[in-house]
Amino acid sequence: MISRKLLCVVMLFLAFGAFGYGTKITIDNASGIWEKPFVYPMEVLSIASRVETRILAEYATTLFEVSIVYPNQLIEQTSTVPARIMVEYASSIATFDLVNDGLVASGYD
Amino acid sequence: MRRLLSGLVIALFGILAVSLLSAAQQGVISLANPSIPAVGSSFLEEEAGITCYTKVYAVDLIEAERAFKNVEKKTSEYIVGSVRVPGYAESHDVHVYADRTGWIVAYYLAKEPASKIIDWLDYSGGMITSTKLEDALVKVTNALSVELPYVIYYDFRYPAATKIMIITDEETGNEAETFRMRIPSDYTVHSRTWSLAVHANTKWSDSYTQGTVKIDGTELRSGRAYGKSWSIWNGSITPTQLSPDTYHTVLVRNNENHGKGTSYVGIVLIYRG
Repeated sequence: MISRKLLCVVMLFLAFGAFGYGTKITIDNASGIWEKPFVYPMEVLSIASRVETRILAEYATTLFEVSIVYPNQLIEQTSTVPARIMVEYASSIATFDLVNDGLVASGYD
Repeated sequence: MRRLLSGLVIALFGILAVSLLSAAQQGVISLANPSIPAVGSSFLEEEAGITCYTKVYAVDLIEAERAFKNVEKKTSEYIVGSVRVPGYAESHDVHVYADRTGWIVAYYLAKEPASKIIDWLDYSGGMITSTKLEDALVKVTNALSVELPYVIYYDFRYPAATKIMIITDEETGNEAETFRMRIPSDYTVHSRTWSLAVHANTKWSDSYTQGTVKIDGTELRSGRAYGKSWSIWNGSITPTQLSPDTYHTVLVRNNENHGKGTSYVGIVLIYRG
């Protein structure tokens, strides 16, 4: 009777072990393993959906050389910024030029 | 023989029970991953890729703005812009949304690889302790003079994914280091990306360290950093290169040219498992 119970326990252990085998990502000899669960940000999204702006995603990481002439200071400042920043510039300066690979866009606000 | 048969029957019953349990667990996961609320789409769903977020008691937008390098949009309710990650070029700037109710969301754009989040400049081997997205959140919470309460990750490109994993290794001198990885076929891998970082640390500007990363002998990238500098590259691994149920060997090689340096590799998996 005892041996039957023992046999059952062993068989169950083997069955669970076999089932569990191969169900985890296996990594040998790496320095570090970092793992985080994903959580769907429903509450953030319901609030962020009120954001009016539509980001120029396709241009967002394109770098433009921006030449800015401030209206009251006679200063010309040139810097390289992502195109997305032109939204900010357009509302805060008088004249701007965006140059990228020969493409020039000028604006006035 | 009868005992053996009894044991086999019980073992089969055990496998069936585990299968049912597994199916039940999958049901729980799908319930925890609800559809998008019907309040209109968010700009985050349109442009964000790998993301981390937190919630503090409230955000004073004027205080928060101090952490921003550029402000794209600011209203009485929220602020959207970019936050610089110290030590990195502008292309590593993190996009951040924060609103008065306390949500702070840091993200890279959907077209950027998830491996971009690895903060190599803050890495000294072993476990990763932070990411560039977390660095951006800390900058904002520091500007608000509050502790970062927690960090949660998500990737808007892969709503079915449940986890992110980063595997790292490094090598110095003129040596190569390898590790092996095997992904079971019952995992659904949504994204496989790599990152190679080379840190040169010499006083001679023309001396360099060259780093190379390979997977199963196929080179993903090789590049140099000169003098005292960092060079970082990111890219994607194809499903074929990281096929399931097979051990794959990732190699990082470091070569020093009249100087000291270290090469680091990171593999980032976004998956459901």
